[in-house]
Amino acid sequence: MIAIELGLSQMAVGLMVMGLMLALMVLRIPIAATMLIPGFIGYMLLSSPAGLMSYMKGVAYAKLAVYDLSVIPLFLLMGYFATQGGLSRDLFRAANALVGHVKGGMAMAAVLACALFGTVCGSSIATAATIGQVAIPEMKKLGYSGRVYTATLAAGGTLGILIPPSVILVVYAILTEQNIAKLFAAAAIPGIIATIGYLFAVAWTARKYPQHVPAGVRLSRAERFAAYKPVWPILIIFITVFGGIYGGVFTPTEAASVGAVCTFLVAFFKGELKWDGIQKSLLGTAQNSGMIFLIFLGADLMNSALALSQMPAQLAALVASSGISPIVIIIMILVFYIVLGGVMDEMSMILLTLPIIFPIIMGLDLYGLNAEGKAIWFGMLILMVVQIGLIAPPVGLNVYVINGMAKDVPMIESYKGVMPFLVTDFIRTALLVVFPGLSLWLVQFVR
Amino acid sequence: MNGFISIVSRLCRLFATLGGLLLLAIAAMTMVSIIGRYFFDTPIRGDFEMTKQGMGLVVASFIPYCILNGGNLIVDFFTSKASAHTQRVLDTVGALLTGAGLLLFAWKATQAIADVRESNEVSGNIELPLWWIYAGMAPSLWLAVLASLVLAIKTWQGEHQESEADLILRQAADEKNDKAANTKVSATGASA
Repeated sequence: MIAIELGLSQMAVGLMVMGLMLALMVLRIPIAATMLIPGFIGYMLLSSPAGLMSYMKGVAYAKLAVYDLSVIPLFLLMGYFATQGGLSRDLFRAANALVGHVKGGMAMAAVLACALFGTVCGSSIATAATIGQVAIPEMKKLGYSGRVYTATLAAGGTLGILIPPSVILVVYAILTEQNIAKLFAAAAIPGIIATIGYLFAVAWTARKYPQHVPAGVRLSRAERFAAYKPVWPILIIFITVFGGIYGGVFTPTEAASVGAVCTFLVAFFKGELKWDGIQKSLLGTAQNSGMIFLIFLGADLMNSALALSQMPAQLAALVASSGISPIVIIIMILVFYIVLGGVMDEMSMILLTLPIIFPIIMGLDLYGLNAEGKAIWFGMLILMVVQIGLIAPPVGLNVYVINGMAKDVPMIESYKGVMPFLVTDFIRTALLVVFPGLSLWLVQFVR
Repeated sequence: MNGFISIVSRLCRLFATLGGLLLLAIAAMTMVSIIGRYFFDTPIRGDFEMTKQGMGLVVASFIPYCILNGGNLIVDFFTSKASAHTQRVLDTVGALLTGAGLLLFAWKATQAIADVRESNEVSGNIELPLWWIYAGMAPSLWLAVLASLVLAIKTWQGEHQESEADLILRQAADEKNDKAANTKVSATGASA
């Protein structure tokens, strides 16, 4: 080991690798490289240059040709087909037919449309932007203030990652070697609670600031039924895909394949998906999955180096024996994530920190849960903080994107509008911390 | 120089599209296999393996396109107030470092092709020779190195690197323009 010849302890190398990574990150170096370069150096120091070279020979194949990984590009593809196929417009109209008649009804419809779109799309920004494109112009026309429509869509979009499929949950499942189907099941009840919470946030806003929220518009019975009709294919796809996963009929990869192909067919036969849209879907999938897998490769090198340094294991042991109450540690980790989410992209944040944080969680005694229970529950908590990070100031990516789409709304207005939604996020997160059963109850039914 | 940039950009797009089509083909194959399994008791032999091996090709083919199109995530929180020049220098260095990291992947993966071929490694059931997959992934990794280089050149010449959010906004705006353009075309088409 080179490190010993140089008189460095394993722990020292581990700390050095981490320090170098953070330094590069502060200097705007792309996240993948901030993990790759220190990873190379650490691996070399803790084994040998020859060791690194032989590791590198197999790593690209070993890390990319993985059956379970296919879920990520397949669910992304499904989301793009749904976006390009105009399914968002149908969902929004149907939701509006359902709740549009009450005060603030159209904003509630936007939330519901986001939740429904979340059943075919696993990305938060994509959900916000897609539903936003149809909902923002209509909400503007009806007289909603910029504050309300930007906030509703920015927050509503986060339902895209909460309601399965969820790309970030798949990444978590792969990193922590958990069952994807069980994680999806665990997200179902929090997803429903989140949707209800957001509907309350809209209702509260309508009450508190009536000048920002117009009254609803009642549609005739015939109009309403006409609006519901185009939605059934989406519901069937959702039921097939997730019924199949939960019932043990297919693996998540198979379900994602079925979902992608069926969404493609629905969009194609609606006549809205042409070659141009198909190409956009393929390239969008390429770009987004490329981003995730590039960071994956970086994270792998980094983790291999850290594992050799044994730093994560030692840190976990240290925290477990610290005598601090496990729940306090969980809360500290969540606060840390919320702060970090203000500085960096949520996906990178998870990939970056999980190898160190996850062993800590597994070393704690949490409500007497078994290893799988702890892993799934913590996955839900991560999902909650990611969701908060996407809409909380100073840099909520969703708020930024939706605000940019709306063009003429000051950023501060959007953040003001987001506050009631954020409050419900915090309440839900607290509920999940106190009652792990909210997420774990459904898991037992997964076969 | 411009010829080089344009060739690499086109290749990135081509690789990503081909990879995407392969992904779609894998999805269709999987679906046929499921239908075969449940209704006719005859799944496609080796469907899991083909998915696994195919995924190596698909994902590798996505990486170059992603690098050239703003998929290279950065943390700009600490440097957002720095001068444009400083940002440009740092972003160029960042693209070069990414390229350097990928160079090691590409070089080693290429060396591995011969090793795997010699050892005659095959996949489980249908005995797909693994060196095919190694050989299929290597060009994508080399293209990713070139894409990083192109990104470095473009950044150095002053092309601003988009943040993830800006990219999504631009794509949303493009889409709107496309739709507007399409309606215009069809409107004139109808009148003609």
